[in-house]
Amino acid sequence: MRTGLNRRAWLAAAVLALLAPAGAQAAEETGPPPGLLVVDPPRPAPALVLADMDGKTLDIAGLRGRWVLVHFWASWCGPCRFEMPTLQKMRQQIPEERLAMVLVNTAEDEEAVFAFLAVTAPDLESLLDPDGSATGRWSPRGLPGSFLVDPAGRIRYQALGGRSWDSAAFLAFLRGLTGQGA
Amino acid sequence: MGKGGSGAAAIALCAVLVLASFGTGAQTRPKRTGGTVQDGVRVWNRAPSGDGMAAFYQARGFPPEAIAEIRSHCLLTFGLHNQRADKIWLDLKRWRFQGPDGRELQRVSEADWRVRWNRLGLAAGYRATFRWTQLPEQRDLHPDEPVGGNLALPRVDGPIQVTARFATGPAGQGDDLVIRFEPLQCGPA
Repeated sequence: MRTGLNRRAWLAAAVLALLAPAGAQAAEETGPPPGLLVVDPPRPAPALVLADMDGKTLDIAGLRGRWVLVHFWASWCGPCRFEMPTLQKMRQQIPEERLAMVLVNTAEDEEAVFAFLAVTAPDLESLLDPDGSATGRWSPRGLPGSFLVDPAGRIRYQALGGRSWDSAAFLAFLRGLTGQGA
Repeated sequence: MGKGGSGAAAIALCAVLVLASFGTGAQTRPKRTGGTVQDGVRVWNRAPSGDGMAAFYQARGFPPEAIAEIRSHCLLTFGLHNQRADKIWLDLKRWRFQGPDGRELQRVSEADWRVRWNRLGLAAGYRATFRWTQLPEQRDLHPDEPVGGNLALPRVDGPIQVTARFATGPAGQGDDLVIRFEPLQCGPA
């Protein structure tokens, strides 16, 4: 009896092990939702070492091993106002350990950053790119601009402008990408 | 956002709303309306006042000499949304600007602005903000992708005719798309 249970348990585990990466692969095979461009071939993500409003420095290289959403924004950008709340809502649905999120404000002071986030996404924090050089290196298509960086540190997707990250299509894609399942 | 008195703040808010309707290269939510559609490309434009533009950049801490430089030009705001099924290629070198006397007006390019900012010693952060509020010099526009921003011309009195040519197709080898904007006037200085 015990042997039978063990065999079934092993079989179930083997099936689950086979299925687990399929979620991510399936997300990529079915393609991203409209508004997300596939970067082909993938390219190494530029360096990103910036401080947040508390002076704490983040180096994106330290986030290797998981997917990272890098998002460039500015408070004067109208579509940024619409998109930021969707990023907060997405954050609530997809845990940090699956998908890291790095917000980068382009060339504004702490006052502007604080005032904007307090209204649009009070739970989120942002790095500051005071001279705009990091934004220049990443060269988003405009502001807002978002990139999805894979666990190996390569840019795999780029957003066409602002997106609704909490939409069903984006959540499903991100869950599939990060192996979270449906 | 704004600094200074309520009047300046109101002007700054209007200026922000002008730019905010585009962001740069941004998809608006909710869907944008207004403008016209020519050959599958939605286009719209505005001529902000000098006060409005100045208030916007002042609110971002730009120094007075940079504000004066910006105000000395005619800044026009453009938005485009590629609603076609194929790519189009934005290249500002292929845009033509004709003044009220029929003569061609020379646009101030990103390189030209760099010369101006070098002369003024403008700090990098302000240059970055300014750059991201401008229409990009060159860009492909994927289907359903918008782009917006300002471009600068010499100040003239009277209508300005703007004709924009875009290459089409995946490698820009398709037929040109020609868009003619409604004549614009420089906003009040």
